[in-house]
Amino acid sequence: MSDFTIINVLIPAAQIGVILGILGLAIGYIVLAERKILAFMQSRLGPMRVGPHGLLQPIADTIKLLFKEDIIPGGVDRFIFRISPIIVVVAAFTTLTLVPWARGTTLFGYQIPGAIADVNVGILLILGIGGLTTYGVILAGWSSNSKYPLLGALRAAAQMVSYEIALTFAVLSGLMVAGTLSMVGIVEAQRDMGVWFVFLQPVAWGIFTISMVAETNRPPFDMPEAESELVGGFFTEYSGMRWSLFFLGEYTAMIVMSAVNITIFWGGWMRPFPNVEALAFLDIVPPVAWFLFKLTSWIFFYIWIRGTFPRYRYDQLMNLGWKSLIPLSIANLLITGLVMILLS
Amino acid sequence: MPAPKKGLLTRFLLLELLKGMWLTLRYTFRPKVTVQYPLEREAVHPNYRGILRVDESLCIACYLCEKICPDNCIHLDGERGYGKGKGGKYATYFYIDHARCLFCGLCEEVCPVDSIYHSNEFEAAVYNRADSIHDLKILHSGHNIVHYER
Repeated sequence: MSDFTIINVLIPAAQIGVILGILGLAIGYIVLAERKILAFMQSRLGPMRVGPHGLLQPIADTIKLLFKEDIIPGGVDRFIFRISPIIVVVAAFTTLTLVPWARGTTLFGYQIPGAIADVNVGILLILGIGGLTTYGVILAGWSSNSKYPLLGALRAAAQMVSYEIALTFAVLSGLMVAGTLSMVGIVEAQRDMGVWFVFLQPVAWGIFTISMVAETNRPPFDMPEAESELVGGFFTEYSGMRWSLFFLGEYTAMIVMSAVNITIFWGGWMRPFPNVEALAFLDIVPPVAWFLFKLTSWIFFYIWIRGTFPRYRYDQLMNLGWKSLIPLSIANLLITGLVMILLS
Repeated sequence: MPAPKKGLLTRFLLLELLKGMWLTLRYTFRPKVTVQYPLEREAVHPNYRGILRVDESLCIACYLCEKICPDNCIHLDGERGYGKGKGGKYATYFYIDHARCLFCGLCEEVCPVDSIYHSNEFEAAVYNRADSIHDLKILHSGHNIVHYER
């Protein structure tokens, strides 16, 4: 087998297999963790019946969803109804390839990159492809030919578009400090400067964190779903496997957004304070474990704020986006540029 | 009502949100209130009015419970005799329809010999409505309660 095949086909294929395999299970258990932690915050126990402490619940849920009848209601636009969950899931999975999970290593003489694809415009691709999920959501709501999904879709359109602006400006502030668009490059820039960018760009990090929750349709910004108002929002008419594809897309987007947050602001796969020699003993923990630890913390954060805050009213959501976050992010961008000019 | 004035620092650092998150975090590690019902049962209060029972040996078939029952769910008859090893009347038959009973406790109050009483059992669900009618034997020794374990 030629080197070309191994480097360009075999290694990425193996990486994809590992990541997708783990992801499928991980998402099931994130759902379980969400149910458990939310229950604990409300003094309940959560799922307890399937397996010890409900540990087999995700498997039972998966089997149930797989064998559920695939219902397509009358009057829907069949083609669009069918492809919209696929759009969501494909867009979410594609962004996964750009996440740098660990430092690149060498195995059997071959260079193995930390990300499946270390593209030099990685962060732009993530934002671009991640933005495509909005289309899946809007098309799902429109093609359902039902009032609640349509309302959900309209909300999704307005919300995701407005929060994408603040999100991108916040990312931009980080990128200006890093001086590169590559996901791996951003982490390496933090290593070279010896500081995580959250300490250089705290405001941008705050804006990014709020916007990423809104961008992934998670409570307290889950206006497109809003069970108490819109039944199920844009996927009211979906059931079974198609519905679970939306779910899969949402949780993958959560993981990817957390990964972007970690990569830009929290030093990616690096240990805390990478420039302090006294903490070198922390290097025993492999980089991928640091990354997964940070990822788990962010997923917990997502669940935590879901358990804490009530859902925003729709106009409050828009106010927060357009009147607070976007001006703040632009101001932050300007100040960052100014400081960089003054320092250079 | 105008919103209470907040300091710039409080608003900008979202201190109130952090306070809320601290609250939920504390609750995460507090003891839980859920009772895993079929596996664990909470003890009911001693005064709890559960399924009616009748102590056959005490009953003097005075019909007071039958008369006072607002739902007419108690039916009994008795005869004078010495068959039960004691003088006076005893019940020949005794039916209580638990599907009609409203668990008011009047029969228990009115009984002069404390024969009829509310037990602490509450698992009275049956598949067949006829099964909720308990005769003297069941009333005396208790009906077959299914204690679900899983």
